[in-house]
Amino acid sequence: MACNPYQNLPSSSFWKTGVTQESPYAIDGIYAKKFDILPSTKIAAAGSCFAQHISRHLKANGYNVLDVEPPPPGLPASKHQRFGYSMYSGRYGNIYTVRQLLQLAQEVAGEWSPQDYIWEKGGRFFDGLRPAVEPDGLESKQEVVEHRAYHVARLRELFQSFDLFIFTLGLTEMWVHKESGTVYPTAPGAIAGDFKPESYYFENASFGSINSDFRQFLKTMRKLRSKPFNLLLTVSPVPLTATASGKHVLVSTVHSKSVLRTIASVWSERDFIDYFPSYEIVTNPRLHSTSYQDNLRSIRPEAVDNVMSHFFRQHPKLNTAKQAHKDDRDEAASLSDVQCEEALIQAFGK
Amino acid sequence: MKKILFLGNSHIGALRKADQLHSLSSRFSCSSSFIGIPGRGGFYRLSLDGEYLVTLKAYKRFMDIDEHAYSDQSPNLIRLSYFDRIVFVAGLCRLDSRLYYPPSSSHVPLLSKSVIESIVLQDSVEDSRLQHELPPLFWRIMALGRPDVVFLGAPLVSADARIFMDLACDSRDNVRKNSECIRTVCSQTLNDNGRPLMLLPSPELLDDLGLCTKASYFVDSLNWAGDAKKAFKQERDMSHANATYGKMILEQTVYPSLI
Repeated sequence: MACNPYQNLPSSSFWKTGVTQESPYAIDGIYAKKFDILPSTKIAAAGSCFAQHISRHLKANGYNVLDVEPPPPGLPASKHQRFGYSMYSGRYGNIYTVRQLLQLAQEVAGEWSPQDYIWEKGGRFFDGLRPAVEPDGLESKQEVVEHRAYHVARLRELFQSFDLFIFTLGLTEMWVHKESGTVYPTAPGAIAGDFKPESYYFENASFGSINSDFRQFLKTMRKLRSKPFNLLLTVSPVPLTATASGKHVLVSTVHSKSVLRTIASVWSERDFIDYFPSYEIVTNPRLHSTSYQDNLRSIRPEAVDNVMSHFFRQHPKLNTAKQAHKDDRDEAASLSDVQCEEALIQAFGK
Repeated sequence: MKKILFLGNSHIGALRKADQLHSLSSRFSCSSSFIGIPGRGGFYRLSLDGEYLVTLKAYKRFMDIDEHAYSDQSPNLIRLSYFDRIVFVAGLCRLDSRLYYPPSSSHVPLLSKSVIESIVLQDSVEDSRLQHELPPLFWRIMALGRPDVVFLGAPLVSADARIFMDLACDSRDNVRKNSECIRTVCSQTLNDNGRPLMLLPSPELLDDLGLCTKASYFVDSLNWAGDAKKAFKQERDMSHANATYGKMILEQTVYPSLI
């Protein structure tokens, strides 16, 4: 019998056995960890809104997810998310693009300062780089400056202390301040501020520029830190709410996700960078889009559970049963409720 | 003459003693009653039955109340509507650092007014360390609509407790800014009768950061019966204030805002 290179491959290598006939809730061989995450591993999490799910599940299951800006003890848990607490490892809100991540790291390292980031709305002032963390805004521009200075100081400690950085790549499209190159998590005017075409431009980052930003980010982190770290990349399966590219939103979504997915593949060839396929688990055709809520954009809590169950097959849950039960209840209350500034753009749609 | 009920735990002792020693009620033309049931097992077991406060026979010795306030039906029921004002003394004063700063944190955050408002006006808390420190009874009596209720809370701990001794400059600035904001929020938060809902001790009673009560106000500290140190088997009492503190609070803060 003649040989062929596919002859001895595992069932996961074939669409029929790996997808069509495979349970989408326990996909064999879809993820093999590159490194261990120990109970002592200090984790920092950031990224687009889908990253909130990952961060919460890791915390709820006993992983050491750092939080350098914890909520005040007297603030009711129901209000943590409203003020950007307990979402990530700091109050930076959603970081959708690699450029945003790079600029934050450069700001923390003292290499760069944002410009035109104090936005006004109705006499209140917002930090345009994280406009959703103070939904009522602050009383003065000076207060925004002071709050940002505290935030950046706390992030310096975060960036110097984590062992593992988990980052969810979300978008390629962004709005940029013409004069300074400052990028924002949302279009000026969506939450606060005023959109002036002469002040901002739209950029749909190419593979090359994201790749360069990512390389620069790693360089900046190495300058900030004295010890090596691991990185775990994921790609958000949440489609774009809207595109400013002029193309159909479906085309733009596939383009963005494809570019980001490629970035993840390229960089996860390094030993210290792993890729976890949350994107593939959610968008698996075997699920016939049932991972999505009725708006075909938001992810159902069950789908997040499915994603995380694949993660925990390689990185087992660490907590005791009692703690898990408590946290699962907390989690259930908040799972379907992530904060997504990007979704606010919908309000401006026709 | 306004009838005022001071309702709380062992911290009532200093206020009652000060009122007795200095005849403060008479000076402010009011009549004051006191209920100071010590400990979490006591005060936090009080409940409401309609407009009546349900007490226990065993609590009688912690009550110094105008006899007309008792219900005709039971000596364990106190008619709250008999009083014009109720001052809550149990629970955390709204300046208390435990509400704002995580205990293990060496950095004090700068908090926005919106966050501070959410803390000041909370009626419940999920943080298990604070669950026994906030009195649900306060909000339940508030919901009755009358009488006029204000919240004072327990004294801030003694400066001897040395909390946050090694704060960096930026953290000290943040404490000052946050304290200022808490005072603004409290002064702007009015009850249905247009009076401040949350009373705070004046800055002169506190340390320079406003996090603690000056240590001198803990000398000869008082609970209901007298010596708080003996009652709580402590060498140094860092939570119960003395009659001088009680006098200052009543004279400067409570009576002027209620009468």
